[in-house]
Amino acid sequence: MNTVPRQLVTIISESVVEQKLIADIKSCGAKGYSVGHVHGEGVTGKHSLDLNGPSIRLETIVTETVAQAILEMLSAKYFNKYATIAWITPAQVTRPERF
Amino acid sequence: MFAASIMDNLLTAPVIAFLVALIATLLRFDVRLPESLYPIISTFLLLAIGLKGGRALAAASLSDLWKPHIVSIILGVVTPLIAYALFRFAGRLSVINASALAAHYGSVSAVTFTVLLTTLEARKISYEGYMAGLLAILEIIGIVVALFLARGATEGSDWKSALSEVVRGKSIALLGIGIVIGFVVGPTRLAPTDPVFVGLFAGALTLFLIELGVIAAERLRDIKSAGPVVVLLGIIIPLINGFLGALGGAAVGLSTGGVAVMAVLAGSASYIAAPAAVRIALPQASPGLYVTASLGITFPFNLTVGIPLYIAMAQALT
Repeated sequence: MNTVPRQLVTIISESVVEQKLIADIKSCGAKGYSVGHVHGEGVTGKHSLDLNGPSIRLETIVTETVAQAILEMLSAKYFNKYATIAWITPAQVTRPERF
Repeated sequence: MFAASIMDNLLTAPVIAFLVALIATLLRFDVRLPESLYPIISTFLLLAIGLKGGRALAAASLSDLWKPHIVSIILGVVTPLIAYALFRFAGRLSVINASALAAHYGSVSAVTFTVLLTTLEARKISYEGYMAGLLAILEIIGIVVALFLARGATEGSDWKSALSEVVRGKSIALLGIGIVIGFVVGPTRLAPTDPVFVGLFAGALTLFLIELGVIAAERLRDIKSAGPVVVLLGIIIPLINGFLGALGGAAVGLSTGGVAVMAVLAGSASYIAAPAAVRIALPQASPGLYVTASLGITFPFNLTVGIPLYIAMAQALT
């Protein structure tokens, strides 16, 4: 099957920022996303146990340009304020118009 | 008599569940409930509290309602200001941390409120049932006033999302729809739902307090870094605010139970809605400070000593 390259952006962040983060990635040009709840440990210590739920893992498949825009947005608004990490993985998709 | 009242209050399933879970966690026993259970129980409790309040609201007359509402609005403004002043000037905290703490102490702990209602019912002290609505009012105003205090010290903070988090966030939203449903349906037609929302209530509250005991224990480990002044203020502020709440309740002629409820509304500190709003609006503030103070210090204090004390204040004032 013919596939087209796209970028998979994965973001781990605090659950309180979920709605804000979704709005921000959309304004960078992401057309869709998936969110799951995760727990774990990072350089700033264990993900906090609080009453607003565990950490979130947000994934979105986007074009190279949008992926860069998302990382820039995260650097400006999230990395220095919230316990957040993000990375990009190359992905192959069919139906590229969806991403 | 007060000692007997403390024991009376301590020996209820929710309070003992909290203390046992807290101690077990400090001793490193793994008593965490399955993660998926927690949101189900908190949803259930908020809805049930709302339904109960809405049902009572349907039976209350407008002339009974307006005075307690005015008092709640005043308390909503005054309690975070007192907390801010004490944390800022006696505790020597930064503007941002003092405001973050003020948001917690200005808002309400729905669980402390609920445990108080359970205690009042067990001791057959009547209270105005519509007071769940006052909880929502105090919660919103308290957080907004506190965030307003920090406005000068922060740049580019996301006030809009923080505000939307407070008003539309799960705790106020679920409480609100519970009140609306209870109000519209009314006591008689609501009766078929009682086996779930009334019958299971005390059991669900007990499960919830096991979870809170675990989280409070995790927070107790951070007490050293919070410092002795924060610990002390975590006990003094609820006493001052609780006393003001009791005075306010007595001034508008609430019943003994109602005065105690007003004291708890004013004297308790939030640890669900406020941390979420503060994290969004004031990300620079230290969660180690505000969650530790509200959940690690004030909540256990109110649960064990505060509630009987507020009831004693109410009995003295009415």
